[in-house]
Amino acid sequence: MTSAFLWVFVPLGLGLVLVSLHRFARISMTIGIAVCLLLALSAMAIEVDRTYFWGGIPVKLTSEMVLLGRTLALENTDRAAVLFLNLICAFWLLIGLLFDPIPSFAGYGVSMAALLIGAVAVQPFLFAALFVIMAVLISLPLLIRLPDRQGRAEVYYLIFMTLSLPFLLLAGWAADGVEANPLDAQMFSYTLVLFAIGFSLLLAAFPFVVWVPKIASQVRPVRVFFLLSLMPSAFFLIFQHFLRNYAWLGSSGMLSNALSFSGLVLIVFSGVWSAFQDDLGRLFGFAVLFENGFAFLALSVSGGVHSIGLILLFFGRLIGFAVWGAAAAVLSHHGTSFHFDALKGLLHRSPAAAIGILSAYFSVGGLPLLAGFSTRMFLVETLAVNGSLNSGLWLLVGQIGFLVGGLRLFSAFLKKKEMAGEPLPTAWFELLLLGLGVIVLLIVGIFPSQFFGLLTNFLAQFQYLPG
Amino acid sequence: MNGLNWTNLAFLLLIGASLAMLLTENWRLFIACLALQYLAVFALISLQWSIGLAAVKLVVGWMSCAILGASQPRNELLFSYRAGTAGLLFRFLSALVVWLLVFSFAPGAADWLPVGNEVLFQGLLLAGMGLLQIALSTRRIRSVVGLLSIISGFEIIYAALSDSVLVTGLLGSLTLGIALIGAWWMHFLPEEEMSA
Repeated sequence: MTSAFLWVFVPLGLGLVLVSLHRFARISMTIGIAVCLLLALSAMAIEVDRTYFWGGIPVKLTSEMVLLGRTLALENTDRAAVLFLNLICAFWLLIGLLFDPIPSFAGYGVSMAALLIGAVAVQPFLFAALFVIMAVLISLPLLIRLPDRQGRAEVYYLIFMTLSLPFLLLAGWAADGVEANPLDAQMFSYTLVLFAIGFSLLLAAFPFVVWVPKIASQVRPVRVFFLLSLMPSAFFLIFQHFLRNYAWLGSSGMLSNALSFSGLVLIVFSGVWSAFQDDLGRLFGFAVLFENGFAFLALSVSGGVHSIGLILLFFGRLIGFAVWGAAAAVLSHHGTSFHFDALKGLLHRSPAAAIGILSAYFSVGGLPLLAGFSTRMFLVETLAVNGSLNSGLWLLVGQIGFLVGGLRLFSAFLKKKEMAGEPLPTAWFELLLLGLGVIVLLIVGIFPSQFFGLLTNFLAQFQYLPG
Repeated sequence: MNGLNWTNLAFLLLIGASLAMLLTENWRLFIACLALQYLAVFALISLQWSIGLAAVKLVVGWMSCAILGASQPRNELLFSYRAGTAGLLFRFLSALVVWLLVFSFAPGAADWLPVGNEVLFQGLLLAGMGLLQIALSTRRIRSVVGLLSIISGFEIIYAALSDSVLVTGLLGSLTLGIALIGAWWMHFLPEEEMSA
């Protein structure tokens, strides 16, 4: 059996089966969670290209699978991505099961994760764009709008994602040309431009950002948190994979500068705009962009080759999103609107949800003692060591804007008791989930070296660490 | 009919169909033009590839037309621009601007893309018209068809660069997927009252 068959085609097939179980939402979602956890466990336990003996029969998971002349190859180094993406999928399916059981969520979710893993696996690497667009298409039926919202966010999402495809495929062709003739400076520049446009569209870099806040404010929270947790994580892993495959692109230094510039623009733009938002959904959209900006920056300072830093950065981000998403799901479950006017006095009405949202928001904002702080600190320190004072100042502008947005949210939550509505009933599992989430944010924030040390050692099993 | 005439005929069909799609407010004509556009794309790609492989584009394109056509329950349903003669003129002038832009940009792009001026012109023109379709309307169906046109335009150019069976298959699935999503949107998501 090949690794691509086990981690791409088996879940794709199971995803189709789960879609057909649409009448039994809870059953299909439970099976979906089990499938994702089993796949994550298999990625943790089974080494690629190593022979195991099951009942005396030799079994080996080979790394390469040939499909219509192209190779799908998942090596040992890709097992972390398989584990990571399946865990994200399992978590959001669990939240969906608790708060918003949707008939086809499991089927679409499992298939999306499988296709995104396929995007990591396919060789030549640029065919990944086709797998990504397939995942985007599968995600679209999930994007059902909130009852009080109107708009075309899902159309923008489809347009931006699809437009990246021609650029990435052409860039792949051009990159082959540069590899054949490295002295062709003109082709090198065109390749860089095509890659830059393609990945900017895919990763929602400035100015292609319009769909993120729109979709975050218009679509039901569990689905949008699932989408915006899974997709950007996968896209950045794919991007990092691409940087590893085309290392020569980074040799000119242009790439590092472009990544750094793109990251800073995104941080300043999303940070400043966050300060003016009146909707929790839109605020989440800007938080995603804010985090993406830091991911760009992380790739630029690390030279874009070490994915361990990226995965560590994403762990901090995903814990924050998970707590925020769970709290938003609790609110949505009780029919609360996400506009600030409707959220006034939330600390009195639903303290657990309010504290969950605030801790998650400030963790994303990089406030000390919360999970996001240590990675932010590391990035700022690295920028300072590199002597980028201007970059540091711009980063500060974005950071202040983002924190002002958080203070406005806090102020809305704090409104007097008489201004707030009836208290929201909170179930025990909601309290447990939000309480655990906030505790994890604090533990990671207070003991970052222990947490990230454990995570680094764990990821080292997958041979992610250089040397 | 020799190769040159075949190309010219297909190119004229491409221009006519894409322009008619931009201007028309009749649903049936719109879908018929999309089908003709796919015929032109097939004809142009068949100059680069074998007929068998190029036929994939035609079959997939026409299937997309069928999917979109079947999803529209009533003629002219939430489809018209409602902008009168001025709107029509504006859209026609916009199309002219796109043609001019493509005409001026294509020779520069031909310097580094080894596909020939005319192929590049045809592909970019179709992609440009698709982009215009997306830009000038807030209707989901027009956005979907605009995306299909952009992909078709890209396919014309990419066919001259690569003849990968996997890419053909995946692009075909992508075309069908977008059409299915368009049909699903029209069926399940009510279109709001918008200006265009």
